Amino acid sequence: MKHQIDITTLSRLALLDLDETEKTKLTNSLEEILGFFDDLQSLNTENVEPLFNINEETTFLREDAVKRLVGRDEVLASAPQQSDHCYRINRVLGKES
Amino acid sequence: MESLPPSNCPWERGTRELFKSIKTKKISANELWKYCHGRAQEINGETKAYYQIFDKAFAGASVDSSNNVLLGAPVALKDFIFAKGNECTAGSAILEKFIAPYSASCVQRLVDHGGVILGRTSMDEFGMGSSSENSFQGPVMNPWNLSRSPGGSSGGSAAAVAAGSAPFALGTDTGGSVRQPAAFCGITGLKPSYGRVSRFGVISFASSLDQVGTLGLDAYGCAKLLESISGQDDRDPTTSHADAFKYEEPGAGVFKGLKIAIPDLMEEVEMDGNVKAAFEDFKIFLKTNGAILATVPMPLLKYSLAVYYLICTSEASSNLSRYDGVHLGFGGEKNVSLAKVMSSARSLGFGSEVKRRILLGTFALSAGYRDAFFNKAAKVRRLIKESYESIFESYDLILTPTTLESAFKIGDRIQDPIKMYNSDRLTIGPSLAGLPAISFPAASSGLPVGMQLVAPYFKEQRLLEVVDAYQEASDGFRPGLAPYPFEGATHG
Repeated sequence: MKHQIDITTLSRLALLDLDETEKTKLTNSLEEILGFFDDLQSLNTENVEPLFNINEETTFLREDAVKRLVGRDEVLASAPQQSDHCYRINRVLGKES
Repeated sequence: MESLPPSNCPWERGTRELFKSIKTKKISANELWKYCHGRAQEINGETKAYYQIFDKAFAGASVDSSNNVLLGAPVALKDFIFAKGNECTAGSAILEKFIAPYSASCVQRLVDHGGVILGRTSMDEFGMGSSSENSFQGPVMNPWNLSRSPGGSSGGSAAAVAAGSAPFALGTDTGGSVRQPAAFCGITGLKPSYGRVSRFGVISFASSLDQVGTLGLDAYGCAKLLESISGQDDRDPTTSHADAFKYEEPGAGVFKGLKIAIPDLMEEVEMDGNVKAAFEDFKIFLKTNGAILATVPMPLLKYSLAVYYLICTSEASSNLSRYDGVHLGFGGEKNVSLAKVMSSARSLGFGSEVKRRILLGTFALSAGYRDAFFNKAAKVRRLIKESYESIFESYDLILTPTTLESAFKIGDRIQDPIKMYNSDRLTIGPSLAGLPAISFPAASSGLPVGMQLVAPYFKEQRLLEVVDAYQEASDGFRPGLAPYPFEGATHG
């Protein structure tokens, strides 16, 4: 089955800007890869529960105590911009297209 | 020029010998550090195994002697795992300036058990790749032949060990990223059971599959490294409650009566001649030593690649949403909408394979497609897991080669994603089922060849003791370091 990809919508959902060359190249490779998944559709999975997590043990509970792992400024240190102990971003103008 | 083994490498004869030399004071931890530090610098120009070689060991303050499992031995660290205060890039330009604000639990445990970190190793961007070519700093070269790929995504870690610059390395394995590089580089690599090692402080690619793995020359090394990092962690609720791993030396007759299943897929697939020959020789070794081998039907295995690529890309598209140019990454464009600020930053920072996988995952999770793709894959994943469980009702281990070929040439597959994804065909099944699996070198006439054994959940001991016994046996195969000077011309 040939799958059609709407690369413009998809790149908007994924928050990726793609130029025209990238759009063509990625559309082709994504459609080819999706074709490769078609075999799965023929498998009967009725009444099969999806498996999302391998470890099916009950989650353990830790003590409800505050533990300080890392300080605010250490985390902020890797942000592109910061000021006054806050994240700073470029001026935002206009609405989302 | 005649090829020589790395001169005076203290672990040339194996990790046991190395530990013996440290314990008997033939070599001090300081001398070992100096050797590794010098050797890492010597080999890095040709292999590009490291992004950074530390000038000073990243180590614990002092190690309690009863916990001193690693005896001060250096460990190379995949650049996916945090060592506090050091850069951690995940092989991505988007994290080029990121400094780890804390240490991963596995790194903290490693230094508490006497390990020291030698440096940060190269990798495919965010673990996405099977060749270590998708790195923002360029490809890694295989020490066995510099024109060949070391595999990926933990290719830098595997190359660092194979080149004799570190006795151990940590990697991560999502669909084969420890085992396939170990196979290509002629060393031993273990992917533990999901939940065995904490993922806290390890950058996420696909959270239900990612697992920290150990690389070393031999199984004994992988076992000691696993001992030093495993166990439940309050900071990662997906770790198991089970006790930390403790390796027990193999007794005599490990192979006697061992029941080993070989998936029938191996009768259909095409493998390179040297892989086939090594596989046949290893089967003969097992039979000669008393193991019982049988071919078993595993019809679902052929779906594992599709299931894997749907699940890992879906999880990645969610995990990588945090690189938004605000909290992490580059600052985006100015005077545009918020979405544009973020998308412009992401587009500059991510490489093409990462973009492809984010888009694929976004598609598989998007309205109207989720049931047909992501949920379908998650259901087949359960069937695959159950098929392993049913094999393990009658067998102790499952055997295949790790890959169908030896290390391919750099540049050969990078333009063809499906061909590249196929490199993981034999390693993905155990990842989907969360099972422990090990790759180890078998005797081969040309480039290294890896065999893979898979064990039931949490039976790492069985894997390690079988491979350890094979590597110690007189009719087995002891792994060796890549001959030096390295063969082949450095790529590009």
